[in-house]
Amino acid sequence: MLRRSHIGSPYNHDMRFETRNAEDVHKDALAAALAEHERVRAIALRAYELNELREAQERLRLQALQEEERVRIETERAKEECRLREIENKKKQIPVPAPRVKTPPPRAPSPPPPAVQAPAAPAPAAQAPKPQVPAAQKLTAQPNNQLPKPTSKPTSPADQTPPQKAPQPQQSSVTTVQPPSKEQTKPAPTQLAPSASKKPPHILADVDRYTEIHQSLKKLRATIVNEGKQNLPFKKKTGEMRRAIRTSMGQLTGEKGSNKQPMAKIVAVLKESFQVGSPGVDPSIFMVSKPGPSQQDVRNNGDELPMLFIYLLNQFAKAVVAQFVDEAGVSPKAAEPIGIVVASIFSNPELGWRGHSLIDILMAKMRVACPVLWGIRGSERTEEGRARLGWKKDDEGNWIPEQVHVTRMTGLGAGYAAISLRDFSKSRNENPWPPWHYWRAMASITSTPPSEASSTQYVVLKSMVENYEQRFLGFYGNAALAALRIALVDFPGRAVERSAASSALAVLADKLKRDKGLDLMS
Amino acid sequence: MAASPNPAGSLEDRISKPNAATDATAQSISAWEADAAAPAEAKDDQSGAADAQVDGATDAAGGSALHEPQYAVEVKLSDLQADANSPLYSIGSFEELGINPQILKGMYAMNFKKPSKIQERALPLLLSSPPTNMIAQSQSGTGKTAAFVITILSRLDYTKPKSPQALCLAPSRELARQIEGVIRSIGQFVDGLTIQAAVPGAVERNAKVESMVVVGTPGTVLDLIKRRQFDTSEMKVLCLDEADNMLDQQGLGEQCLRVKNALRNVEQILLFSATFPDAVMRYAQQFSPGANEIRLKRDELTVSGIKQMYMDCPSDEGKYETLAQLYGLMTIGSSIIFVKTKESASRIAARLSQDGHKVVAIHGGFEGADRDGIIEDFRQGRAKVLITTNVLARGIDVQSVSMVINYDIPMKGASDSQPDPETYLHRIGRTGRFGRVGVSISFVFDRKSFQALSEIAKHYNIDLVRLDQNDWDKTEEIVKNVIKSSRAGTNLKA
Repeated sequence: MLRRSHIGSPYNHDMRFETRNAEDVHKDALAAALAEHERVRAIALRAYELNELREAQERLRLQALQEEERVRIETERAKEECRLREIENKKKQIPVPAPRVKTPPPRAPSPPPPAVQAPAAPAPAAQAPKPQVPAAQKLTAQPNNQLPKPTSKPTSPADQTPPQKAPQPQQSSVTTVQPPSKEQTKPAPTQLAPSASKKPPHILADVDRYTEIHQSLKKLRATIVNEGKQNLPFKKKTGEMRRAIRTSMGQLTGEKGSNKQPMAKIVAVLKESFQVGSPGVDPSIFMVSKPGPSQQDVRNNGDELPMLFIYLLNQFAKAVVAQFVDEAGVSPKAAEPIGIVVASIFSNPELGWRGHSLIDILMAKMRVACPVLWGIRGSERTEEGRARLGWKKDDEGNWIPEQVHVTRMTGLGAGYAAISLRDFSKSRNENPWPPWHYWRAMASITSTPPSEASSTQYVVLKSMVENYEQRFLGFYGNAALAALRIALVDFPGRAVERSAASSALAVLADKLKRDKGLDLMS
Repeated sequence: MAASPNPAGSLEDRISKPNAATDATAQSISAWEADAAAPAEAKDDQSGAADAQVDGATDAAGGSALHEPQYAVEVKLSDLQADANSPLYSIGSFEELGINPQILKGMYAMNFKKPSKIQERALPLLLSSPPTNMIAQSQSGTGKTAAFVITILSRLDYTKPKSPQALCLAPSRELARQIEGVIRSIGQFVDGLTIQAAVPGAVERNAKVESMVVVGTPGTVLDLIKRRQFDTSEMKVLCLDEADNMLDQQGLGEQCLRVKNALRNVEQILLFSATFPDAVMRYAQQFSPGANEIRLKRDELTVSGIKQMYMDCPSDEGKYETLAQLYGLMTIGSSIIFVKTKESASRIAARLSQDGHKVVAIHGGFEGADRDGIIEDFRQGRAKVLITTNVLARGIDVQSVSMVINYDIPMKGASDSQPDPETYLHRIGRTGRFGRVGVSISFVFDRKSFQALSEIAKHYNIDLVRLDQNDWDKTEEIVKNVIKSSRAGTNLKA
């Protein structure tokens, strides 16, 4: 702020004012000039920095493109070599038809090792050969493989996510199966990061931890179900509570103030679980990191929480995800009230532990349902790719139809935005899932090289942005504008082949221009 | 693989084209069962693929991909085509159909991704020149409206923004309004498009109808023509939605015919519906002569996405308690409850509101504009439960409806003595739109209602899953399995 003397503005030259040449006036003028100078300088600096960033970004993009191109060429070369090798193999095998033997069933001449075999490596690496295990080597069982090893490239975009379905649950979580409160011999790791360091940068931290939490929740659910088999009143009670939560979730609407009744009901059911007797469980099994006991006087500061409470939070999370998928998938605006309820429940200190939110329970579900939000990539043309993208299978093991998958992803994308773009500036409670998560998810999707981008990502990105652009701009201002340009113009513009999904993203930019006057093109 | 149906060839087999020169009215009707007969790809064993993933050394992954040494297992053809019997299954893309980019853009904005079967089959015929008539039947929620809207938008002469060129008729104002909305959405990026509704109260007296596309109810449109507010000289396309319903009803059918006769220069007459009873079909063929036809067999009429169940209720009064419990059994977006009388509609509405639901009720007792408002509340999700008498059984498409309840079984005839399968089909068709899973639950409580529902089930050859209100945990489990299952509660053949 400007220092102001009692004399008033130095620019108010009033000839009648005797002190107009006083020192104070002079100092004021100097101060004002200095402030102005600082302001202009700050603006210039910011502009300079922004420009630097842009240039850096552009450099990175170019680098990425070059890298891609290199990887592509190398892949092609490797493929070509594979093919050559195969032909050679075939050639070797041609002249060895088995002598005609009549009796045994015709046994075909041992076929050449087919080239389609999946690599032993978990990741498909469709575009780029794996650094350590050149896939080509796996293809033929030839010992004298002369294939040049693709130079290992740490920056390779090859997706190195380990298969998600089978992360070994930590032993600590196994203990949850033992129903009654056995002492939790192994406390959950404070911060789990076994393979995190090896991950490519676009995959967000904690992905594996979330799959573990998801597994632990499954075990907890089984425990409750088993308990119910022996204890019928308990079963009836949990069933009623579960259905009450689901009913309330289905009642939410976008009207202001209309969700009080269902909200209150959900809170009431969750709180009631503290009254119904159930064994305790260490909540850190269901969190990414374990908080120590709070020094302040907060609720639930002990070592355990009732198992039934965690179970119901899990049911709540399931209901949230299901409602995103089933309702917000077709009418994305329905995600908004659900997001509000999520923020409210998971920021409620009475429903947390040691002053920390238990939202990781929900995020474990979101992580499994919509992996691309965590930076995971995959090709929709491959089995593994689809599995990685969270494409579900039906009860007969067939992939669910594309339309259904797209609807799911639309709902989950909108849902993630509804959870992460909440304004807590007027709340006493802490935001359980602040907006930077949204930024991070968007960044991890838009940084996908064109050759690896999938329709799933375009769909999720579109529904994350649609109806939320205002909120996003509110949080991040000009940075959000730049991000939107990348998300709606640059990213779909780079798409290798125009698809309905990438086109829809681009059309959203047109819609924003037409409806909101937000011009991202210029 | 050899069994794979060749789309170009099979189109010929399946859809009849009028033999213009010799016999303009003769058509060979063909149904989609030909598709069903084409064996879906021999289910390539997925387990093989899964093994191959785990063990790089198996050679079970099949030789067909031998020339493509990809490092990951490609999604099997059998998976991509697994739902070849589904009315939503398609192989093409909208881009391939040669649709105007401005129209395409609107479709992208509406999250359309690929054409459904009816769209893929019908659009090439609808868009071909010279314009040919069409009678098209397809299951509820499979994209009929979009098909004729795309046709209409493609036929317009955009240099004549003030001349009505296409007319779309619907049996109710709600449906007309809805179609108007779809045209606006699909046409949102089409420059110079003008659209107008012609439903009671929408057009001022003495005002001219000056939009390229007009959507209305037959009575209002006929009045406008008679009063010379509606110039029909440039009219090129006439489309009847829920055509069987309109042609079948004395008054409506008569009005439709008179509207048609007033359109001297019409080039293309389109009739669309999910149902076409045989008697109506003959009339339809006169109405739209020489039409291409796309038809369904009776037991193909329901969509597999709709899981049909029924609830055994202790008594007529006991139905309410049961109803309230249903909302906890599964994830529900919006829901529609069909009842017989206005009185029970109001009663149920009051009780559900007390339980925290946002409810609206609509029946014949409401005036036009009120009805528009109520439907809009429901469509926008401000209310999530709609209670209605038969008024709304047909055509209304609110995407998020995931449950339809037949609180009373639909009946017809003198003093409701006969079960009404057509109405049942249109009612449950309010859910499971465009390939999504929807649930329909019909309430029975006595011999008569049970009997009526059984007859309807027999009519369509469907297996209804029985639910029980004694053990909700168990019922929840059953519902969960039915929703998950790709077959239960439907007539989808293996």
